[in-house]
Amino acid sequence: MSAATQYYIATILVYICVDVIACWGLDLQFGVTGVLNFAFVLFQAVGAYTAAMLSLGPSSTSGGFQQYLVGLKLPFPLPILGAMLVGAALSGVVGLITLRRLRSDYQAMVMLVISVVATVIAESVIGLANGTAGLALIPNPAQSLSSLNHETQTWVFVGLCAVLTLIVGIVMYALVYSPYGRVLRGVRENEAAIEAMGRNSTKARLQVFVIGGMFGALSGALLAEFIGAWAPSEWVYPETFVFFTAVIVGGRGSVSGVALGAALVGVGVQQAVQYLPIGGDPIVLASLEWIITGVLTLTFLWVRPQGLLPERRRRFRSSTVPPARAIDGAVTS
Amino acid sequence: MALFTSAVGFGVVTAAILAISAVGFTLQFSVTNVFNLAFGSVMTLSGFVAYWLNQGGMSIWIAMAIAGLCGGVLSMLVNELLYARFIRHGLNLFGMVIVTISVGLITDHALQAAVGPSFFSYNAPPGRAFHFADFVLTGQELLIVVIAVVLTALTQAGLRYTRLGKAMRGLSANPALARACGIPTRRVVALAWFTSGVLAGVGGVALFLDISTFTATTGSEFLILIIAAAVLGGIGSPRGAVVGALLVGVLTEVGAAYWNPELKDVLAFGVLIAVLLIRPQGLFKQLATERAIVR
Amino acid sequence: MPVHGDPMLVVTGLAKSFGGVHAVDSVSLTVPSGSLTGMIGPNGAGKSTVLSMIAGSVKPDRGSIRLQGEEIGGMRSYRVAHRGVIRTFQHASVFPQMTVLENVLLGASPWYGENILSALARRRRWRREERLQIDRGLSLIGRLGLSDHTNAFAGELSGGQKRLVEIGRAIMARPRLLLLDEPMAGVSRTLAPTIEALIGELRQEGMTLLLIEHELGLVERLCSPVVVLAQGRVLMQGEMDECRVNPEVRRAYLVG
Repeated sequence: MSAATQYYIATILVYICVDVIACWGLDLQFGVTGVLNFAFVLFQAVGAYTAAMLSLGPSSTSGGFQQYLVGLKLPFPLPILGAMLVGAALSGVVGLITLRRLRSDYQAMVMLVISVVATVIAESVIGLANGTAGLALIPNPAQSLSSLNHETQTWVFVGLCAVLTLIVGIVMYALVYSPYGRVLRGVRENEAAIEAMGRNSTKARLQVFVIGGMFGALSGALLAEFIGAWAPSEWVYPETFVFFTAVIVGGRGSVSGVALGAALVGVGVQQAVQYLPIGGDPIVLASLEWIITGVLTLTFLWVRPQGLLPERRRRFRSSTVPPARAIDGAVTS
Repeated sequence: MALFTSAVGFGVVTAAILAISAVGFTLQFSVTNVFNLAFGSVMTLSGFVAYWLNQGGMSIWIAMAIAGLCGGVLSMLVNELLYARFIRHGLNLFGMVIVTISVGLITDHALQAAVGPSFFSYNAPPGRAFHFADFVLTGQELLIVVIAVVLTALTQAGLRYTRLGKAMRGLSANPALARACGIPTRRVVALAWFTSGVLAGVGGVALFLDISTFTATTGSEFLILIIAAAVLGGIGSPRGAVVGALLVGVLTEVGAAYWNPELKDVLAFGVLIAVLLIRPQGLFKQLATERAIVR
Repeated sequence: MPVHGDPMLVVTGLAKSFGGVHAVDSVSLTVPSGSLTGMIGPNGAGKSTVLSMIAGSVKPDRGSIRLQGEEIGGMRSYRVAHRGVIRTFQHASVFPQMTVLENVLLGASPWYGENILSALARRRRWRREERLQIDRGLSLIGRLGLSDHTNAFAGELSGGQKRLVEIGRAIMARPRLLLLDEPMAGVSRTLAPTIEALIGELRQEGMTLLLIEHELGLVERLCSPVVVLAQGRVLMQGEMDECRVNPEVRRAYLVG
């Protein structure tokens, strides 16, 4: 296999992992708990910028061609962990501001405005993260394994992404299919009723906001380290809706469904568009991606709002019912 | 002081454009209870209709009127063919917001694919310069302000004095009761979409006139400011939308003059977020309690 | 009917206005322990508002609500629920996209496994507790006569069945005080006797209930005492036959 093909496959795999992690974060907020986080891409961006600022050296080095805060040149895995922490912290702050007694779609408008404000600030305040140009030369943690050649380094990074995706997946499964997950779905289905049953819905919403934001930040950190660069154009506010489309298409509330949706919508649409016989004008291709994303959302909301792999119906069996045959073993939930 | 008055002066022009658009946005929300995030796209499309007419030699002001009509018809059609169907299909409010976003994205990017990423401008002479205390407004800008005043006044008058206007207000205050009283809901809703579409169209052309060069995404970029103005004034209240527009318009220009031109929108957004924290229903809380926006 | 010990709930001088309209104007009432107290009155009397204030979903302007001596007035609804006051809603409030069993499970008091750390780390322990709750839930569903619908989505049930699920969910919580807001609303004629019988059984088992109902026949059959509200005020509190003959009450129902 040629180096170019290898790199192409590795890129696809990394993008799938990144999109799956991000969509799981949004699914926890929107799919399971019903929080319309229209600022989601902001948390991915924060993760990316934080990882960059923690792994780059001080901005004055290498001629100072880009300006940014911090620059601590920390080794792996600190930039990624730092990104997740900052993502969680920012989610907490935004959540405290917005997750109040407001109607959900109204709340969503406020979050949308916050997302736009953040973009404007990032673009205008050059000293923050190098403004519109963004940050470049972000080191990839696999590059520190100098004994390996470039191709193997790339595959090591792919392996890292895969392992992290697996871990996030296990956490998602544990959270969603647990009594905690049941409470979250109760918040989604009927907030008045869940409060009447003694659960604090605002606290639950804030919690998923923080965890989801943490996953979003993780995805941003991985993406920034892979591409090596990150700029405001990567996280304009409409990008949040690509994630929403993925969650809706895949199956909101369903962990495996959302993973499928992330792969199909995040990566699949982008790849499919490249292979269409309509010439290679990048503007037209980009526009086509957006059009297809929009059409997908409308189609699924009309025809199959529960998504491709809908949320499983939980069936429980009584522990006093004996198994039909000895080999049936333990009852499952 | 001179800086301040001139900033206010320019702010009034921005406020005029915002007022036209915000009244349209908030009026449609008040009747249909849906945040229409495709509003910016309607503005852009109408702006381009005016562009093509203008390129063909028509005066920009007549083109503005025609573009307004086009915006109205387009909005009404999209509602009939799409939004109303989704609502009948049982989609809830959050789903409807996502539907409008999708429509907006499809429209914007289809337009962009068609016309390309270039910048466009109108063929419209700025007109004489009018000297005020510390600033100068061109004839064009002054006419925009006049149009804004006329349109918002007409809208208010229409809502208060005409039968359909009263029906709209009734529908917005209490949909179930309005239906029970025999108000022709479907027709009133269609009219609300038409009116907001006309305002979007005129607002779009005014916006493109004011900022001199525009692209296929300009309208949607402006949408956030419209939302800010409408929400600040109290969503659902046309009067509030005008006040919100004035506040946002003046604040952005003052911010640009005193602080940093690139961050001018941030000042307005900051005020919006601060207001929402203290008083989430905005300044004029016409609909807040009835629609359970604040629980 | 024997009514023992201290009252379960004492409401004093409760008041609430909405935009200048006095929905509730200085309401005082007592719910004796172990009783099935009825709250009746014409439309707009403020009954639902009083119930909502007790349950914590509406904040009172004035007044005190004491649950077995403890002041709960103004507390948020989830706190009030924690203290053992469970309510049902006028429109049967189920979780539509969750099964009947899951609805009922959510009635059980917040238990282990409902926060993040224990969901992730202590699987074995909460699975054990969950199993116990599942058994309780399944037998409760059997008692409600909904065994065939155990795994059906609650949103697909009829109005009466939803109401049964809602009451079942409340029973799971083992409340000190159960507030029923028009439990017969939206219930078909076939299921109404089942629900009425269930309510009666709960009272016999020692639960304290406060019930808002328009169907005076049911109130007469089950409730003692009865509180009559009209235009935001309490007209009288006593037995149903006393209320029937009271001239103020009769006037309120004819006029109000």
